[in-house]
Amino acid sequence: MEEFNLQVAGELTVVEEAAAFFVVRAEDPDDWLVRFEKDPGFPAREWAENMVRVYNRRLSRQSAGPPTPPGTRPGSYLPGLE
Amino acid sequence: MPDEVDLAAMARERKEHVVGDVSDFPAGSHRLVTVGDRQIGIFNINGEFYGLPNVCPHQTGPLCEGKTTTGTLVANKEDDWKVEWAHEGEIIACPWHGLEYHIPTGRCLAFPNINLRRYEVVVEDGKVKVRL
Repeated sequence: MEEFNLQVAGELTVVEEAAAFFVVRAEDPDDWLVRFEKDPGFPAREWAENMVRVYNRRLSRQSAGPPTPPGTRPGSYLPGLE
Repeated sequence: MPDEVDLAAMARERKEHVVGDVSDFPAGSHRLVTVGDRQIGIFNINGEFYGLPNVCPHQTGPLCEGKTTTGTLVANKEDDWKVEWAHEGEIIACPWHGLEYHIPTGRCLAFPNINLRRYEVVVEDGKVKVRL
């Protein structure tokens, strides 16, 4: 079994389908983790792209943390408003 | 006749991974397992088993490392918005920033447009297995 330190081995990426954006493993786009439903009132693309950006940065730099320090409540959960 | 891609997908769907004995997952508990290239949280809620990815869509925190499960307050128009406690033991909060998810559906409580993948978990011959 491959050794890895984070929750998923390898980078993540975004796949867009008609009704939703999916965050998937880059090595296997059929292997999805999260579905963000498209809706006029919900920034699904931004959520998916933010998740991928944060995860891949953590993967590439083990010292990299999330935008909001763990254990604290962000001012907003919306991407870009942390 | 299925092409090669379909056959590969079918084979992958049938693949089972033993992640422990049933006794390792008492009712009301959850634990983290590693299956292939990912960590999965396995939850036993009243004898029903569920599997979720150990990653919060918010800022990729280790969602399933939350120590406890809980319930939540709900209110519906049909009940004249009477507030009630529901889904006891079915809610997990990310230990990083507190975003909550309904384990049986994978749905985020605050943002219902966000749904976690639900891995199929079965119990056979006393073994807990994840199907990927």
